[in-house]
Amino acid sequence: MDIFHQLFMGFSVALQPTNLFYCFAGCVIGTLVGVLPGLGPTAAMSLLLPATFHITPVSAIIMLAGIYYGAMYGGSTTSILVNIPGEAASVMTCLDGYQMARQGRAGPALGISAFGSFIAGTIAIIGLTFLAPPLANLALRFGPPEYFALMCLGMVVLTFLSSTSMVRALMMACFGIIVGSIGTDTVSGTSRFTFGLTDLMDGVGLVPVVMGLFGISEMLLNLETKIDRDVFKTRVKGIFPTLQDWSQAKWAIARGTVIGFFLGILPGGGAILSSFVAYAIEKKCSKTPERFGTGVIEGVAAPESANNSAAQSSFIPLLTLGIPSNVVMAMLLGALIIHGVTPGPLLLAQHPEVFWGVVASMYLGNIMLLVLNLPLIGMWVQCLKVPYPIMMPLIILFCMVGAYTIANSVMDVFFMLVFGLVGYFMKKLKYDAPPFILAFVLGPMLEYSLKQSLVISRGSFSIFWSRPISATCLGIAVVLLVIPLLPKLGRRRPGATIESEE
Amino acid sequence: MKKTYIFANLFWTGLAVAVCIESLQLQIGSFHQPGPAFLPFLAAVLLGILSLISLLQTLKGTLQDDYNAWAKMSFLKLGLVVASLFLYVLLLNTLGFLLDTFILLLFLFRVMEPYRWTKVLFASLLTIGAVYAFFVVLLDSRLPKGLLGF
Repeated sequence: MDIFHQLFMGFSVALQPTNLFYCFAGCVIGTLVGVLPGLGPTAAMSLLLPATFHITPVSAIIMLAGIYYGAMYGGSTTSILVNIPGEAASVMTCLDGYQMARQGRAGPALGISAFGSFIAGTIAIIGLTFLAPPLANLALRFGPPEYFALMCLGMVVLTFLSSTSMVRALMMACFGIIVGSIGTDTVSGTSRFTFGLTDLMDGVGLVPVVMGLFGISEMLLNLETKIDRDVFKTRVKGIFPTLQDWSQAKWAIARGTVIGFFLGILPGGGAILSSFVAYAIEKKCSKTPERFGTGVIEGVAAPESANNSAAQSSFIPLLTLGIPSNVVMAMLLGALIIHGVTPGPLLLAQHPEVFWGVVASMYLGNIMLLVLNLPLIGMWVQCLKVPYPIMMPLIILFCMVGAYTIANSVMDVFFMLVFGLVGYFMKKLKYDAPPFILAFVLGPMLEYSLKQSLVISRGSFSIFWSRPISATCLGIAVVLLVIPLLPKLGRRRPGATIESEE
Repeated sequence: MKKTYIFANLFWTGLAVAVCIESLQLQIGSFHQPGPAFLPFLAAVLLGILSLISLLQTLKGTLQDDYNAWAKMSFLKLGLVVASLFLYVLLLNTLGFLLDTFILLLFLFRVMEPYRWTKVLFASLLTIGAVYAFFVVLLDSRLPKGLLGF
């Protein structure tokens, strides 16, 4: 009953007019970001983070969370109507969604995608509501070795799932730790790698780094290609799926929801991976797998349900353990810290209004998104018609102003441009950015728990193996590191599969 | 791309060595009492080892590095945009937000697509107005005033 009482309190927070407004704003911006190719939820969140400095932490997190799960809804629109994924988690929706649109069934494709997303998202929030409190209680028993092991596991899983070489992904994680250690050491007060620059004393900010790596670099990359958005020229009609559509898609939605939920919780997992896995499993479960790719409704329902379910469940490790499971959650972790809220097992006890307010807002946000994505679909299609040459300078300008307003510092804008170039070359040379960002965000926490563990054990590494949770996490991490060395198994790495599917 | 990857791996190795040297000067400490450069040193050592493994993989041709990432690239357009962005940052405090941004937008709109000057002027003014209203009027952010004084 306590959970219901707390959830009721959460709704009283989320239903406050201001929070309701920010939830709606997050959902609208998220859908817009999802619809527009070239700008993902991470870049949008980093872009708007400075704008949240003037509002309360709970309103800020409600809006930023809304952007994330809103983008999952919006991404399908572009995939179905234009055959370009609005954001990475909607890649698989293109395969059958666009074919359905070509057969004159754009309406049912958009409809099942929105309803599937709603059902999966809501079930995942129910899971989050009931799973988070016991997990937070369990996490109270975690000490520095457990945290260290869990963070290591998260980083290793992310590199394991890397779409390119695992060695290069690990290199990016190391680079992230090094960049994350720039600034003053909190324990000794020593300045590290600052080269005498006072602007580097507090380290490199998360927002300039993320804006650079995901926003500016994407814009620079898009300079090379002419983005033509050939919007499918059929009137979108019949957005409510028929009974037959429902009967074909119901198990795909159910399976997508379950897969997405568990892959979302998994360190290193998230919406992108879950949509790929859900599509692959749906194809395997089907009696007519050869029809996949020709416009089957299950091929739309499964990945869309999975990415929404994962988007919601990925909040579980962040809010209960304080460990982000993917790059978007790393961004949210940074946002929470900037707002003076430390996510983790104590969040429920110290800031119940933030935790339950955000959870309750997700229920409301899902309903808002259903309304935004079905009757208002025409409006989003119009957004797709804004020419990219107009859009690109606007996005760059928002990045510049956003980076400047964090601390009214020109240096932050400079760092953002530098990381924009770094991100550009990383993308060109196929070095993955997510392991870098996760390591960059987790670096200081990783360092703290490693040092604490070693001090407790008087320099003995046995502390990591003698405790069951840390031993299990590190054991799994070692297995994942060894798998790519075994030729047969290495080729089956999910990341490698994603690359080949692409 | 093989050559590019060789250079890239050598860059990472060089970076790892530089961080190791700097870490040694900062004090690594011991396992009993880890110093301020303990983790960066470990990360740099690992980065160095991994970059050498990656270099070997490139030389052996184990990885699929045979694509040409620079094929579609227009160095002139990229160079112009990057240079304009850095110049914008350099001149931001001197020229002020409004003037500096106006010049940047004129340039970016023209570089992206040769729109007519009237269209470019209108788009730039409209954008600046919207950004100024959002950040300065609504959010009360302080943007550099520079030459214009507002």
